[in-house]
Amino acid sequence: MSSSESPSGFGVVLFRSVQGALGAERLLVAAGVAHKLIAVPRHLSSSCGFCVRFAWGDRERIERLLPGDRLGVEGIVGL
Amino acid sequence: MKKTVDARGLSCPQPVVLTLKALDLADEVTTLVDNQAAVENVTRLAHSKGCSVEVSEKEDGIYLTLKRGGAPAEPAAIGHGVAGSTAEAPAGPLVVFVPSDCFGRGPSELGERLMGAFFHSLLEVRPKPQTIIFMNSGVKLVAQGSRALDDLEALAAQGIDVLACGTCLGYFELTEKLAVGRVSNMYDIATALLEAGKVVEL
Repeated sequence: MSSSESPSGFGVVLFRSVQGALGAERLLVAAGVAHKLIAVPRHLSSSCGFCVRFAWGDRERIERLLPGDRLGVEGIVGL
Repeated sequence: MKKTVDARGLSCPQPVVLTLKALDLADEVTTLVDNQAAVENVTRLAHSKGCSVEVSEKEDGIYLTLKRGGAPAEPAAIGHGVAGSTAEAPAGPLVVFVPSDCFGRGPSELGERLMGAFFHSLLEVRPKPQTIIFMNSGVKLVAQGSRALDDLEALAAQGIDVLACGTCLGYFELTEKLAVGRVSNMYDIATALLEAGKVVEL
């Protein structure tokens, strides 16, 4: 799942598991990157889950910081 | 009949409780207090009871004179409502009660984040509550450093009344760190819960 546009100025990182989202949160806190753990928006998933919302301008930094394999990143989507 | 209540030196919620008792016996009650919080609490009581209130500051204290029938009674002593948000409530306002900083029982790591996600989601769903009450460790959510702060500020800006238990803020030494909403007391909280059409406890 991917998206290269963000009308709202925000994007979200989606994970296969809650643990992945929590692990990403720890890494972003340590790196000082502004973010927010939110419920996955309904238009992206009908099941309960966390995703990490971030400012779209930080996308490249986010991609560098989060090891997709280890955290189970499913995708990065613009909101 | 007139009565006077000297509530100087008394801590919350005593000035309100004594004023309320006096209002049962008299049409006009003058309550003497010595701090701003008591002025606000007694004023709120007056509005909820349909009393007019006159405030007069003198050397020996602040005098609040409440007169019965001076103003229309408000249904709840909890401030403003949210336009159009209570239409689906059975009768009376919708109140969300938050007695913990964790959503549900389980690991705090999960519960704290679920709580943050709840308030973020609340921005987008309906019906909106008229009041959100934070009690016990729930008051951590309305204090500086809370992960839910920006969302709670947005909810308050939408007109939702955010009440934080003053006793609980004191217990956690967060009184000076309240960042959103207003300090409330057990009397107001009990009234809001009892007058609610529906209470949702997290």
